[in-house]
Amino acid sequence: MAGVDQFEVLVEQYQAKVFRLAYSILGDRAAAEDLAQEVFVKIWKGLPGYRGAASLGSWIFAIARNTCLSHRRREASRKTSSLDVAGVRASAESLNACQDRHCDELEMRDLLSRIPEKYRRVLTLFYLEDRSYEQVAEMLHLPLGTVKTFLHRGKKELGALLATRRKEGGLACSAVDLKT
Amino acid sequence: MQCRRFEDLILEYCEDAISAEDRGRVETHLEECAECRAFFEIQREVEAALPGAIGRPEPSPEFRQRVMRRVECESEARWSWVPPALDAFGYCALAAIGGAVLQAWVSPAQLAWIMMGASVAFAWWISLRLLREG
Repeated sequence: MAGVDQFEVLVEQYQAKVFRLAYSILGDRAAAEDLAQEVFVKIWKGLPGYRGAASLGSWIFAIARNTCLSHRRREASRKTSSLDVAGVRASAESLNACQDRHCDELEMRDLLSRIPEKYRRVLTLFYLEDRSYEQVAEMLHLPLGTVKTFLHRGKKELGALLATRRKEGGLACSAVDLKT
Repeated sequence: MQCRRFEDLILEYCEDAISAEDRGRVETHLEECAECRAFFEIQREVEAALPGAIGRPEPSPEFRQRVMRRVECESEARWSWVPPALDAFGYCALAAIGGAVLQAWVSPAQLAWIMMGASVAFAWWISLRLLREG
C-alpha cells in the first residue's frame, strides 16, 4: 500500500519533533508519547484534505499543538502542575544520594514548574530543538520576537526564583551538603 | 536592577548568542556594575542547569510501529463498509437474474408470490445474520 509506506516515511521524519512539541506542552513523557501517536493518526485521517496552503511541517505542528492544548485543557481540572511532577517528586525523594550537579538540575526542574506555562513551553522547546529560535517559532506558531521575549522572561523569572532561594537558604541540596 | 538595557544582552551573553561588539560592551559593563554581575552569575547558573533539567526526551523505539499499527486499524475501519456494500450489490444482481429466469417459466401472479416469499426469507436471513454479528 503506497500511501501507508509514504506515511511511514513521514512518521519517521517528524516523530521526534512532534514528540518534543507534545512534551514541551504536556511536560510528561508518557502523555507526550500517547498524544504524539494520536497526532499522527489525525494527520493520516487529514492527509486527503491537505491542500498545501501551509507547509507540511507547519500543518503537522498545528495539528500537534491543537491536539496537545485540547488535551491539556481537558486535564487542567485534574492536574495543577506539569513538567513530570511525579518524576520531580520521585527524584526529590532520592535527593540525599544525589551529586551537586544533579541537585542543580532537580532544583531547576522544580523552579521550571513554578514559572508561567507559556514561558516554560518556549524554554523547554528551545533546549530540545538545539537552541533554535526559528524552530520554536514555527512549532509553537509564534513570532520570532515573541519567542525571544518569552525565553528571556522565563529565564529572568527562573533567575529571580533561584536568587530568592539562595537568599532564604532554603535549598534542600545545601541542607544535604551541610549534613554530610 | 537599574541597568535594564543590559539584561537581555547579558542573557544573550550567557546563551553565547551575542555579537562581538555587544560582547565587549557587556564585559566592560560587568566589570563596573556589581548588580549586573550578580544578575549575570545567577543567569549563568540558570543557563548551566536548564539543559540537564529539561533532558533529551525522545520517543520510544517502538513509536513508529505503534503509529503504523493504529493507522492500519484506522484504514481497515475506513473501508469496513465495502464488504456489506458488495454483498448488497451481489444480492441485487442475483435477484435480478433469478427474476429474469423465472419470468420465462411462471405466470406473473406466481412470480409475485415467489418474489414475496423470497423477500421474507431474505429478510429473515439478514436479521439472523445481524443478530449473530451483534
